[in-house]
Amino acid sequence: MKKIIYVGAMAAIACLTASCDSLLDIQTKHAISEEKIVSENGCKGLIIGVYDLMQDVGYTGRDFLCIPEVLGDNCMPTPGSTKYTGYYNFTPRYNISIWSTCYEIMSSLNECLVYLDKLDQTANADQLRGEALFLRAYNYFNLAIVYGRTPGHTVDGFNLCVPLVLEPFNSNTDNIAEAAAVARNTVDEVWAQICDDLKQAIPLIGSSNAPYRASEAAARALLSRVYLYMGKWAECAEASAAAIKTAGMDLYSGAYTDVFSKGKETIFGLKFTEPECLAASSIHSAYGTVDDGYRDADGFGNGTGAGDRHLSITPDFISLIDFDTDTRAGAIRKVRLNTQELYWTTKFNSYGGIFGLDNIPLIRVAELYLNRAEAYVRMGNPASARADLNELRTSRGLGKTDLPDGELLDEILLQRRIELAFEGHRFFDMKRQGKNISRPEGLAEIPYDDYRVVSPIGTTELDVNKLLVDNPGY
Amino acid sequence: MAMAAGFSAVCAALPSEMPVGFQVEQTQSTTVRGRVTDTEGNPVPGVYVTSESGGYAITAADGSYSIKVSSGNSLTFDCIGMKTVNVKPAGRAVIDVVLEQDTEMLEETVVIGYGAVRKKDIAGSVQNVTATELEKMKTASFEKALQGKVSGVQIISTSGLPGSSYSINIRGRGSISAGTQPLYIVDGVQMTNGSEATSVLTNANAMAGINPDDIESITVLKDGASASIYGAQAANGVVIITTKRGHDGKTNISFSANVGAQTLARRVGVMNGQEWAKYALEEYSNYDLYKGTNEYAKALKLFQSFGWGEDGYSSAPTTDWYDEIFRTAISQNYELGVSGGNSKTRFYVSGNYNSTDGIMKETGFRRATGRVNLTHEIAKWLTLDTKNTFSRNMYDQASTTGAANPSRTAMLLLPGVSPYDENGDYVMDLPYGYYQYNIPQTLELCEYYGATSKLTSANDLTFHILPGLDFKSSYTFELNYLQEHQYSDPRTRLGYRYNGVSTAVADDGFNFQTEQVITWNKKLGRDNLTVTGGFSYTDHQYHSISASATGVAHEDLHLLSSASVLDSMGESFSQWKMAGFFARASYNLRDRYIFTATLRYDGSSRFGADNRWGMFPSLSAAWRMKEESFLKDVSWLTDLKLRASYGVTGNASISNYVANKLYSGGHEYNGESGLLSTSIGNRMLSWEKKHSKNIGITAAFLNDRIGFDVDLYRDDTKDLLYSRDIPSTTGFTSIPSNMGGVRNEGIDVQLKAVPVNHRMFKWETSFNFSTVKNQITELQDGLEQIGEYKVGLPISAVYTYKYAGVNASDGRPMYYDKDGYITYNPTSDDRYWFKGTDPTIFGGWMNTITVGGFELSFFFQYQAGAIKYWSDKAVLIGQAADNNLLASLVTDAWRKPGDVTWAPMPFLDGAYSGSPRTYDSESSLIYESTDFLKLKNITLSYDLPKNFISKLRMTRAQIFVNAYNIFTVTPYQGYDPETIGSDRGLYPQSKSVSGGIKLNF
Repeated sequence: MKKIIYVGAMAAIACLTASCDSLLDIQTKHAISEEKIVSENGCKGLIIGVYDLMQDVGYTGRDFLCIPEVLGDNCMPTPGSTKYTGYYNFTPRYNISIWSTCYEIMSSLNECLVYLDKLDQTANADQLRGEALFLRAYNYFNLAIVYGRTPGHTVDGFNLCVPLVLEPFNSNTDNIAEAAAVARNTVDEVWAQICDDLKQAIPLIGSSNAPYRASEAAARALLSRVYLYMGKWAECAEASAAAIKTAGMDLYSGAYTDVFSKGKETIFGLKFTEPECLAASSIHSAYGTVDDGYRDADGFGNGTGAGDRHLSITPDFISLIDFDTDTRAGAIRKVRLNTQELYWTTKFNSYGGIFGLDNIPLIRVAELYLNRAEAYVRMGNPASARADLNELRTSRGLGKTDLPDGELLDEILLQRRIELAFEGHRFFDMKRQGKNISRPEGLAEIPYDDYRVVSPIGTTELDVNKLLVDNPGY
Repeated sequence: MAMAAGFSAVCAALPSEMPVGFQVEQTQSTTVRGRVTDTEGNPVPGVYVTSESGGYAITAADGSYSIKVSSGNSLTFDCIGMKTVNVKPAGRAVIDVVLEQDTEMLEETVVIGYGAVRKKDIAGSVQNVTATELEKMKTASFEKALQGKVSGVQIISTSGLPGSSYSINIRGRGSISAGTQPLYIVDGVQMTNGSEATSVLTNANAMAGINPDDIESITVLKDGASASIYGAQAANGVVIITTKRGHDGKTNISFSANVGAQTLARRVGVMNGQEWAKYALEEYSNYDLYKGTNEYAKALKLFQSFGWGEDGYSSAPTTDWYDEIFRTAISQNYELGVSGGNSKTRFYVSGNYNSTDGIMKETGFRRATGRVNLTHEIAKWLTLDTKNTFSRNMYDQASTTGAANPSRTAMLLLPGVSPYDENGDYVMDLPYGYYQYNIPQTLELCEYYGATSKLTSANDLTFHILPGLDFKSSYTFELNYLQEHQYSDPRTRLGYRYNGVSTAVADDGFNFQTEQVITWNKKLGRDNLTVTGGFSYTDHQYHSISASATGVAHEDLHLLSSASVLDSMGESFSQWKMAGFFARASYNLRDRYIFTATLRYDGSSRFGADNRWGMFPSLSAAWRMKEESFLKDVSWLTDLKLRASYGVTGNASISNYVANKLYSGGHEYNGESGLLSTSIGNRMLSWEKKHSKNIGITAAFLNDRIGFDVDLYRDDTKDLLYSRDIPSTTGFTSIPSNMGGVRNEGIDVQLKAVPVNHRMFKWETSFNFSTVKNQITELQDGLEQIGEYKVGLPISAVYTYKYAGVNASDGRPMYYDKDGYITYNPTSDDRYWFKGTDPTIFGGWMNTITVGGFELSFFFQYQAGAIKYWSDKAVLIGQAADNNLLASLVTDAWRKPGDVTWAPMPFLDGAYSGSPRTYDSESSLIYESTDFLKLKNITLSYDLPKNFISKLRMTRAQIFVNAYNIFTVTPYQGYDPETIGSDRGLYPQSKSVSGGIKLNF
């Protein structure tokens, strides 16, 4: 018995002198520590994790494609659905909100870039570095167009964009508030960083992972979009050409739904699995794209099993479509719901023939033609612009345009609206040009300088980061 | 345990009753032998027999003793819970002694951490509830029986679903982010409490396997000093449950059976079909008026097409969704217990089966438990004590999410739509409205099932090393298997798109605990010293596997293996460990002054590598004034004691790995598995420490006819475990950290009285009253306010927009701006502070009236001082186009200039012109007072006369009827004001009536 007391006392003394931490050793089977992440597999894992984050329904998995359509004039809430009504009405507090998801992505990418520098510089490491740089550029681009105005279109001299965070955060600090505070960079600084990242990425990234992971073509294509938004027309035309060439992909002139359901024009996109799509909140559910094939005598479906079908196509948009010739009408479905006649898009439906499976194209080759056409016409080269426009029009069954040069720009923008509808471009395409935001159903335009055109950073973030200022009007 | 006299036939060796020395007298002595029994003839082991000359003996298991005694000296027979007896041998060689039970309340002993004390020696704030009190409530869960019984302790059911967990708050909420649930110790074993970690089930009670009939006593350690022997886990108080033990002698058999019926306690008043359609049309027409749209005509046309009449409403039908979803449910409870033993071995064996159907169709809870408690004296110096229990709990639940939640949709589904088609078959999607799930069909065809199987084995070996010196070595194993299954039928909206979904989850938990405790008692003249010291170690592991698949072969094949496409699969693992060293010294000075000091040194794997260990001291003192000479002879004063204590306790109720920076896998994309940083980590993360002060007075008068305990406390919690918001530009939105402080202070009053004490008519009453004033004393970086927390206000204080009613001239909702002026568009700066969501006053009032063999008990429970966000209200006052609305809107909504009311003009989306904020958004309008007075329990029982039942070889036969949750007085309009958190489609409480019998042989 004395022995037990003795052992107990010794154990107690040992602990009091702080050496029995081993009593508290636990297993961590479900996760790995900081030491183990610094490896090629660790870095690749972080990058794959970024794509997983991008599948989020609050971001490029759904809302980043849907909300710009509701804020614009292509979509309206399906009667009875209230999910996107606040956005549709430009109700304050209803804004595109991608801040925390994007910065979570930045954190993984910044860590990845730091760890890659510590590793042997193999070809794999280079490819991963290029991919990380591309993804950083892509997500900073999205942040920049949501939380700031585009270069050359600032209002009242307010030229702040988002904070450029390019290093991973270190939480081992005494003053976390100070260590974590970052200020907003200017519009020019952010857009310059996006260009830098892309230019660095292009020679590193390779093409073997296209199109559902980043590739050289994706980086060049994004650069084309970035220059278009910046109004750098010559650079845009050049980048578009390089991207089309690298992608080695033509406009697809077959059935329009195949562009999506077979990924015929996807340069960069997100790949989904069937279970991910079956999740009740996927993009096909929001758009009501799943079609059970039922048609009544008038050619209307009944919408059964189409999911949440939050969004319908506006009559304004429908009026733009030539249902007789335009192959894009093939991705529009008529339904009768509670006696109301509605139109739903079927762009995100049945990828590879699998019911309800929707891969999401984020950059398509058609966009490059439209980017280049717009750049050409704006830089005073209507002939080249007309060629690109006609390329697209003929692929969609419309035939060549006979409009005079002076009306080419409007036609290019009209084709852009139709071609890229429901893919999250509409609101930003108006915003980047400094145009008023056109609204459907007789609703009044939202002036370009309205504060609601730029998303607020939000009080949660402002409260914890004293260096931040919110956008004007909030 | 509380060996309140009457339950103990075994004496615990307790401090002040200890013999003086260890030397046995050798001179001029004779040997006296004999047997000590209680009044029923059962032997009483463990009685200290002391002679005046200092010799001692302890009675054996059969009650026998043998002691040498000098001539002329007397013998004292001393045992806790029994009256002490003095005998002069006067030459006799054999002296048999009968010890009477000491019925005085003061002699009750109460189990505290690692030991027991006489109630009269308690210096902290400790309250004990005995089996007798629990039994009166006739409930299937001990938490329910405990509700409102203990001052300072608030117990709230998380859901009305049978088998749900309870939230227990002892003396207010001391933490913002960390857990606030007390530590549960069952027979010395730390138990997992709260809700099971489930995937399919919600709020499944981890303690549901405890059969209340097995409980001997429940002790609640409320003040810091009493709890601090449990150190790092004790900041939220400690609940110690002791189960019944056998005693030697005649074998006792107890049997009880009861059957009851439950119904929905309260319906929320919603519109009927005509009211709804008419109101919806009003909304459309007002909208058109202001927005220039053409919605009314469209809606009218639609309603006409439904056959609701030319006006669109007067022929609208009504579906009573409450009737479609709820029912009268049956409950049954059967209980069999056998206890007994002989001089060496004592046992208690019990079995229980409970089946409680839920008031919601297709839901319910079934439980089977078994228990074997065994004590065996291996040798005079070694006792084995083993307590083993098995339980299986089976839950049938329903979806709790959004539009598929039946409790919520019972209120919200449109009255004009029917779940049936013209043939009386279920439709799949309801034809109109935002809420499209056919809830009755979903309840019938879909499955939310879970079953837990738990095995707990607590084993103690006690070495009686020397008189007064015991060493107890304990080893406990707890196995917990949880199996869950969810099935979404392809015929329902839940499963249609996937052609059926099957999900299966298998969890297994394994907990190991060992404790090594030494206790030493020493009597020093008229004083007594007790020293306890020991080591405690726990290891908790949890492992889970889950899979989900879609595409079933046939609707009635629910298992994974009949599905065609693997949807997802998962495996998880988690572990935490604690180690602690503790010591306690108690000194009892002349039975008047009692001092206790404790110290615990605890380590937890959950904290940062730099800060894992913490020290938790306490001090307490009591002055038993009644023992002083100047009060000893005051006959009307039965007892008077002053108490004071100070203690430090810790809170470690956080997730297992938050202090580590970790990356987890499973973030699948494109056929590859990705990694994400799942926790930011904080090497410095450490204990939340609570500094508790308590002063109290215990008094009893007129031979215990009236007595009270009053305690004043102030608990200051420092270094709160807090998930601190950080800029999301870091990649994270929060970091676990320590910051700030919270103070809880208040008064606990417990009053007991016997106003009438007549042979034929006895009325006993007990009343408790508690106040809690909770306030934040400090926030991070010296800030006055962070989000919805503000220094000086309760943690639960509500910060929201202040609703100002309706503009009588145009029917628009109005708010107050920060300066008190009317605004239609309040900004976030215009929010006001309101009271908190935690009540500041609560308690209960129990009455027992005995007339002959009849006993009537009735129990009231009350609370006041809090408001609650009734989330469903935001929807019930929202848009008619989406869902049904509160019936009161029919009369209350603004209709014409001059109407003064709370409810604005019916308007389609609630976004009135010039009022961009919709009035169903969060504001004080959505909060409601949760003050209530409930008649919780009435039990009428009749004990058959002893002379009659003894012929049937019975010792007791009782018939009873019980009614539970009979009526509630409250301004709250939702199902029930007594719920946790915001009220969003919580499964409603039931009221019940039951009857049964209880027999003892």
